[in-house]
Amino acid sequence: MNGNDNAFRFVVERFMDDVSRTVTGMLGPVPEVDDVVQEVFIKLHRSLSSFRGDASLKTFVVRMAINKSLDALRKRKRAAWLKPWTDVQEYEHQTTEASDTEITSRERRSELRNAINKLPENQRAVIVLRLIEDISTEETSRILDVPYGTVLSRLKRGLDRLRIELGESALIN
Amino acid sequence: MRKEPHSDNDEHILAAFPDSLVKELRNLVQTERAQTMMSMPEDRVMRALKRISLGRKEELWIGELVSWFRPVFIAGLLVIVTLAFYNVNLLSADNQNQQTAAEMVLGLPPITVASAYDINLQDHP
Repeated sequence: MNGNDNAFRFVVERFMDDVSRTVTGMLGPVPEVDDVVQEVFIKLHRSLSSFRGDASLKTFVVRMAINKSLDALRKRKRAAWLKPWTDVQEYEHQTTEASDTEITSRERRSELRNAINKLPENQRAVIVLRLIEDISTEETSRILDVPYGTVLSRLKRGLDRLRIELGESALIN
Repeated sequence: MRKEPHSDNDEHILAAFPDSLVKELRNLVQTERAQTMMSMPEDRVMRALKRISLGRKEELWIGELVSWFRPVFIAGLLVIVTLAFYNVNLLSADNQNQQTAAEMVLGLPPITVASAYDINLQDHP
C-alpha cells in the first residue's frame, strides 16, 4: 500500500506541471484551478486500473485535465452566482507600486486572457494543447478523441478568432 | 520555447501566427498558474487521496456491519410484528368473555397477572 502511494506520488510529481498548465490555460486565473487539478489526480488514482496502455500516460492524464476543465466551465456557466474571476488585474492590485513595464505586461496578459476566454470551449482546448502545451496535432486529436481534420479546423478557426480579437493590440504586430 | 510544427498540414496554419504571440501565451499561462496554484500541490493531492481512502474503509466497515446485522434485524422485526398481531383484540358482540382471537382459537382461558394471583381459598377447606 505504501509502495503504491509512493508510486502514485511519483506520477503526481511527474504530471503536476502538465495538468496545472492545461487547467489554467482552459479556466484562466480562477480560484477553482487548484480544486480542478486535485480532482484530476483523484480521478486518475481511481481509474489507473482501467488504463490499458493504448495511449501514453500523459495523453491519459491530459485528457482527464481537459475533461475536468470542460466540466468546470459548464458548471461555471450554469452557476450564474459564481462570478468568473478572469481579470488578472484583480490579483495584482495588491502590489503597491508598479513600473510602466509591469503595467504594460499586465495589460498584455489581460488582453490575451480575454481573447482566450472568448474562444468556444472546443477551440480553446485545441489552442491550449497545441500552442501552449506544444502537443502534436496527432496527439491532440487522440486526447480530445476527435479526428485529425477536426483538430486542424478548430486550430485554424481558433487562431483566426484570436487574431481578430487581438487585431487592435500591439501583440499581433 | 518555439512552437514545433508537427506536420505539413498544421505548419501552414501555425506559420501565420507569430512566434512572439505563442511565447506570450505560454508566459501568460505560467504567470496565471503561479498566481492560482497554492504551494505544495503534490502534498495536498496525496493528503486528499488518503482522506478519501480512509473514508472508503469506514464505508466498507459500516457496509459489512449492516450486512451482518440485516438478518437479525429482519428476524427481530418479524417477531415484533407477530407479537403485535397476537395481541390484537378482535372483539365482537358474541365475544362475551372479552377473549382475544388467539385465546378463542387455542381454547385457553385468559391468563392475566391478576387472575394468576387471585387465589380462591374456598376450594381448600
